[in-house]
Amino acid sequence: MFNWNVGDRSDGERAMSPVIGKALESTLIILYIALITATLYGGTVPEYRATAGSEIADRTAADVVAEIQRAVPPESVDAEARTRIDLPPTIAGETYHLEIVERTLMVSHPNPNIGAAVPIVVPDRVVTIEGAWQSGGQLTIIVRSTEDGLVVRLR
Amino acid sequence: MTLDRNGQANLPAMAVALIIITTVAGVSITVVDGAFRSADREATDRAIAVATADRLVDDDSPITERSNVLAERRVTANRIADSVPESIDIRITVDGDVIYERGDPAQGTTARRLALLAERQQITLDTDFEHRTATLPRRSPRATLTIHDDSGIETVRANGRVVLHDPKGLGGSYDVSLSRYETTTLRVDTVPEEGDVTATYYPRRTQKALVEVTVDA
Repeated sequence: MFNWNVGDRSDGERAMSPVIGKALESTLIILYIALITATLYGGTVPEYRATAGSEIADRTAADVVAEIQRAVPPESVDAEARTRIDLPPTIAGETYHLEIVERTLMVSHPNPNIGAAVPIVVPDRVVTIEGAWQSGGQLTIIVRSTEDGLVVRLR
Repeated sequence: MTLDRNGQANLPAMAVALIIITTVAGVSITVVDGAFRSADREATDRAIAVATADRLVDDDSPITERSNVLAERRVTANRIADSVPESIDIRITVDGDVIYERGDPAQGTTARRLALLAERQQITLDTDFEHRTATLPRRSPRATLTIHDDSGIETVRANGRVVLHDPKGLGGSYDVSLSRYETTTLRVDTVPEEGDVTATYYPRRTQKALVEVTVDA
């Protein structure tokens, strides 16, 4: 890159040559970096973040559903159980939301490409599963028996 | 070197450097792509399949007698349908026989559970109590004894324990409960005529069965 033999001025026209050379090189490098950055952040990186995020969302949902299924106590007269579980505070750098809709756990995320839905398989004696959770802090699964059957609540 | 050639001599070197960097970046992206593809493990499919399989072989499943023992007569699509989550493609097989299928989960994830498939049989004992005793060849939680009114039998013992007694003489059909944990010998207190006593018992025949749940959500 460095061509500092400016003392060898056998010809006066050569004086500007290194300056132009450096300017040209710098411009090309800057253009190149801009191009690479634009390509990566314009397509590849968000795609990878979404792919990784949706895998994390899938696994988070699967973990929560497994914990809910495990939290259901065996048949008994009266039961109350609390399970606290740690979940990732953010997915792809943003907070997310868990919600139960018709016995299905839904993960909703600001990025529309990230999300998951896992049906919950529990015995018939569980009459209600409800609740929602915003990421950050621990998720608490509360199982309580009522006259009609077990009620599972997320908090 | 002449003046003209020397002027921008490091431009070609830079071009080569950029090409190398681009190649490395391209190769890295390909590797990352491959890593992402191989990390795609269908966590939700697996979770549903495992949960459904566990639920089916569980103690309070609609198709089991107790934990891990399927009752053959209960293994039907109707009973399974309630335990299966909706809106997914799922196939449940027991020992390779498709019991329940919805949609086409060919690309799905499979969870397998080893269980026993139990079938309750009804066998009439081939004996006339010639020596007052008869041993049930297999264990059974209960037996049905049919005793003729004129046989003169007053007491029936199972392994020494009195299970039926009537001082006026037994007659009719009786259900007796037996120990599930030891082989039972029935003993009557007189030698009956041929055909006076018949004993029916209900052993359970079990065989190992593989419960497979394939899910494609």
